[in-house]
Amino acid sequence: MIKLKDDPGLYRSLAIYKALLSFYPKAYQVKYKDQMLIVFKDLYREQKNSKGKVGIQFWFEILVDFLKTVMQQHFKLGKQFSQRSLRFVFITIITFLVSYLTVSSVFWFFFNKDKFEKKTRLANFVTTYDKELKIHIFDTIFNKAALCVRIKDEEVLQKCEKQVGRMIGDSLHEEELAYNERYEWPVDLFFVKQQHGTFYLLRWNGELTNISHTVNRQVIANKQSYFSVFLDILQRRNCRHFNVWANSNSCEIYEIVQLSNNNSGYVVRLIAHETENDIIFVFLIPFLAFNLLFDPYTWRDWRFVLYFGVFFLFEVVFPLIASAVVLVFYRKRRKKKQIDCESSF
Amino acid sequence: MFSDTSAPLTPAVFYILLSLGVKERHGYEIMKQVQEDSKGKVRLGPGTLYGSIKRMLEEGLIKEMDERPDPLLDDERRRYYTLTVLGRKMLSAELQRFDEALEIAKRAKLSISFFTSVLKYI
Repeated sequence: MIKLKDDPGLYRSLAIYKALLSFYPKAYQVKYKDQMLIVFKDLYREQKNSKGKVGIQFWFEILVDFLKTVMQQHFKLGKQFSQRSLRFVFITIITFLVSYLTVSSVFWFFFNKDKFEKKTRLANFVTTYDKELKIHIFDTIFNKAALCVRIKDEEVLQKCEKQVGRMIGDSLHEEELAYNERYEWPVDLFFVKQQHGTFYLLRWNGELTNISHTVNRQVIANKQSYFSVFLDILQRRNCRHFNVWANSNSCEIYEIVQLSNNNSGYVVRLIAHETENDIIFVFLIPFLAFNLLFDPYTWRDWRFVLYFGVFFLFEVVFPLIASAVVLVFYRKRRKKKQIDCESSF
Repeated sequence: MFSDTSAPLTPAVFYILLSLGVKERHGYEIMKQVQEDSKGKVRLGPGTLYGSIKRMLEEGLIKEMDERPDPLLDDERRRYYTLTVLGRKMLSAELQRFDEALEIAKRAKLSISFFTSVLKYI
């Protein structure tokens, strides 16, 4: 008889097949594992003797046979499951789903809480002031209007992409131009006006801030920073509509209305409000995982990775722990009931 | 499942019964015999073979032999299987069914050739 150690190929193949056999149900393994290994060994030797080598076809047939029968055996075992085991599985699934949905809802509320708060929106700010005051704000204080825009103009997008590379171009497409902190844009910037070398910021709530200290004017002049590109976009006066994103999934669409004849001032008018499906928060873990897998930029952003970690902890680990706790509690209660029942006899 | 002799057998079970009808065999021998008997049409992998053997053992169609091979000649872990009375009954019932089917087919062939000859004249 040829010893196993004499044929390293057979030795390795047997080790692989042995590992595959461990996927069969335990009871099946106890009875047939050795037999199947012997048959595999015979098949391997026959293949080697007849063809000189063991090829892909041999392994393909073995794998197909394995996949087909391993499922059959588990399915047969599943049929023999007692009512109690099925109840355990049912309770685990339900608990997992309930805790997952609860945690997701909390996250959804956390990220959408602005919907539940009364805010002085830009639209209100503009419409509650009288026309004269608007002209005063937009025409007298500032000499240039700039808007935080999500421009659908392909030409502008291409210009941005050329200047700052694909990443920013992508973020424009992703509707995260000014909203997303990931690329360190001036967040919640809606109107920027320059007067005598001073930059002002008109925020969402109508607050006016001097932001000159945050702006490197030299860089702007060289048109090398994101901010310069940003201003380029903003200063396009033929842009009539823009979207303001209240959060990542709802936006307000504004129309730019020209107030003065010399094109020096603008006011905006809310024309539509759109909300995207918030269901993404329920499936945030698959969504984040998908981003991590397919978007290499996400790995550079430690905040994104941290987000993933936190969501994984809350949306996967917590529901799993909850399911385990409920299951243990249920089993204990069941055991107690059984003991009570026996003692009553 | 197999207790009803009128129900047809699956190809794998039928060929395993057929191979064990001649003599007792171990797993690999069964596999080779099945391949030979079916002219390569039924190829059993180790999983399919032992899945069928397990089912047939449970149904009492085959049984495991107590004899073990000589460790000097072969692996002593090999198990030999043979037909039970029920297994033999099932096999003969299946063969009988094939026989009847063959008879019907033969008759049908005659009538088909008759109709084709008639069709030639039309």
